[in-house]
Amino acid sequence: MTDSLRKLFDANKPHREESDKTKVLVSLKASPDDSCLTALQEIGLTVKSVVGNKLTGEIESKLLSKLQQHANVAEVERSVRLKPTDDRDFDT
Amino acid sequence: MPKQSKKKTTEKAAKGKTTKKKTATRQTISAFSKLDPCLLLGASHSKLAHKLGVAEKPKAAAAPSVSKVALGIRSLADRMSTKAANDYVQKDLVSVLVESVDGTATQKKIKSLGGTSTPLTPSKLMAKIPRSKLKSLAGYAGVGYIEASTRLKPTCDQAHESTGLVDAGSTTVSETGQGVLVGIIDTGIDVTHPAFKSGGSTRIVNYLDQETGQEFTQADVDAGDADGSIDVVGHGTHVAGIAAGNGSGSPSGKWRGVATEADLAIVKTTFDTADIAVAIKHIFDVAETRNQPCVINLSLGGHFGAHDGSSVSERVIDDLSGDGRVVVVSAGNEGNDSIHASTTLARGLTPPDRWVADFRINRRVFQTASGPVEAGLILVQVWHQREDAATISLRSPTGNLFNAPENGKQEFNLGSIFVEASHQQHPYSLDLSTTFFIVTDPDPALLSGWSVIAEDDQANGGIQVGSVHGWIPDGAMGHFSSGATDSHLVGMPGTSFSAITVASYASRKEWPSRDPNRPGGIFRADAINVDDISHFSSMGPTRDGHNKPEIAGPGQLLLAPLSSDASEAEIPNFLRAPGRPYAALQGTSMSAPYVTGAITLLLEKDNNLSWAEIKRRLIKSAAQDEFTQPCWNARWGYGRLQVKRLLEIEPARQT
Repeated sequence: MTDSLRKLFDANKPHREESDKTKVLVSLKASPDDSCLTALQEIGLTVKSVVGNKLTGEIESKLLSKLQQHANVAEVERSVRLKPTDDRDFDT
Repeated sequence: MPKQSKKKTTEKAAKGKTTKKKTATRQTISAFSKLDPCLLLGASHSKLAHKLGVAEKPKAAAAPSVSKVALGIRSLADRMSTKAANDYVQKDLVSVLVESVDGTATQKKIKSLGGTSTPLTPSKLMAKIPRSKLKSLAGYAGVGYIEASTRLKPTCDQAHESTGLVDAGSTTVSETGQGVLVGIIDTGIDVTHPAFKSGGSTRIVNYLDQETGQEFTQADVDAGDADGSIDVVGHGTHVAGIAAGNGSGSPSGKWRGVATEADLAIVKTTFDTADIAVAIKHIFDVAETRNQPCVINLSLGGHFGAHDGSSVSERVIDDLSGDGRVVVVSAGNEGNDSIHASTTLARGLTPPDRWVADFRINRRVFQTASGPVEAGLILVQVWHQREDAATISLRSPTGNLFNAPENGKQEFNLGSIFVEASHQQHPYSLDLSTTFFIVTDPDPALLSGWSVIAEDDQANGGIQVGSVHGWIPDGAMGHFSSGATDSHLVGMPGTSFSAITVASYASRKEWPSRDPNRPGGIFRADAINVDDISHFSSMGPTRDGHNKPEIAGPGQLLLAPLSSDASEAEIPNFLRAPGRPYAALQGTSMSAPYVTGAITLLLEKDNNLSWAEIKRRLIKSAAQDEFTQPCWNARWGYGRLQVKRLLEIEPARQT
């Protein structure tokens, strides 16, 4: 049981650092120019979309701390899964 | 004998008296009961004059005001035809239907009272009679009953009636959403549903499937290329239909949405916040290319984070919203869930102030690579403000205490309990969060008796503000058993500053159902209190005290398009309308697109409005009543959506 719990724990913890890729939202200190985007890509970030000084992308979890340390990065937020907000609990 | 006679006489007299009294009472009741209750109420002249747009007669001011009569029925004013209302305001004449046992004699009586009449059948007359003579006519022996003549209306969805979009069967506004783009980021859409077609062609101008990466143009959709991007959940199709469905496929089109001629841009999303941010940008880019104003609906949410609009994903909404660009978000359905606990720690106490919130973990089955695993799994996140120094701890049922290192994380392995404790200062708000992630053996003794503890850390500066909030992001994980409050439950991104966040109220309690076990095909939910806030609607405000939600829309059992690909597991039979591709669903997921549709109409009228001005007009036009209360409150926001009034609010004065 301990092994199963350990695996469940490792697979679900919010700050996991395995080699799997994680989707992120990144807030930069300034809107990125080409050289900034190149530098972020060199760290391992695949940039998907840029909105002003914010961007979305994907990066291996083990590279997250490196991304956070980049001079132009203000914060890195892990993407979280949201849910539809319909109510299924019918009290009839 | 004489004595007896006297007694009998006395008894008779007494009986006679009683009989006479009873008769008198019966006569009074009889005259009263012959009148339709609406006629007893009368109608407010000023209300009718306003309805007709005519000047009020001076003497009419003395007429009884409906507003002064506290009866829970609709007033006569609301039920009169325009012609009847004119007669009432100008001539004080009321149109009635009279049931009579002596037709000709009753006609004479009506004439003598200053009225006119037309026989309909031997026992029924249509009459116009001065309002002041109604009681005299009712007192006439030949009259059986007097009924107010009222305008009938086709049955239409109660939601439109309650928001003022439809009055007495007619749409109150001329806007239909033409030229405005409605964006829906959701579970996809049934592109084949007739509610999203116009003249045989689709109204979906762009469809992005984030699960497959495919993007379809309007021509692609018309060519059937998007038919593979189906909506198996049915949520997105229903949401899109509330905002912009045209009612095709419903009886007489009565289950139409709000903006029936708007264009649609759909994103079938993964529900990941990063993808949602991409989706918002994508839809606004589509709007830019098409040179259209645009409103995006997000009927989704979650509870992992600061609940103050400071997450990057929420600030993306702030960045992208602007003139003719607005995002509407559902408040959430956690109104009954004990997933939030909070307190205000007092400063400077000896011993230092301390707060304990207990919680329990649900036993669940998880599918893993090595088969199903039974366990408890929960996240508890506690936030406090940057001004405060507080120690946040976790206590297990076994009595162990867990703390996170400052701006770091630590794992604990107790064999049958695994804990990760992490601490972080948020780079944007500078507020502090402590997150405990727990996986435990499903032993009942390990599932309950957990606590989070917050304590004034006087050695490091102590409490200045004292506000502490804890959230369990998903009610399926567990719930607080002490310290829980029903406030601060608006989910993210509903706490986004610029977004318009929508609560839900009930506009119906019964709906047509194809469930064979329902007599007459009607399903009725007696627990629903029509016009009141939905029990599930999440309460605000945000953690930093912003007024969320802003407004409440109809969100219970709205009839809207049913995706042909939605399984019965997703949308059960009892929610599906018989013989029609429509279903009744509920949630703030349904109230948000209603408001989205209303804003679409507003943007048709004035397509460059900023999100702030749209919000101002929504607030200004919201209706308040005994349910909503007269000012902003955490359940309703500023009140009930009123579509017609929303379109009539004048622009804010420019300074």
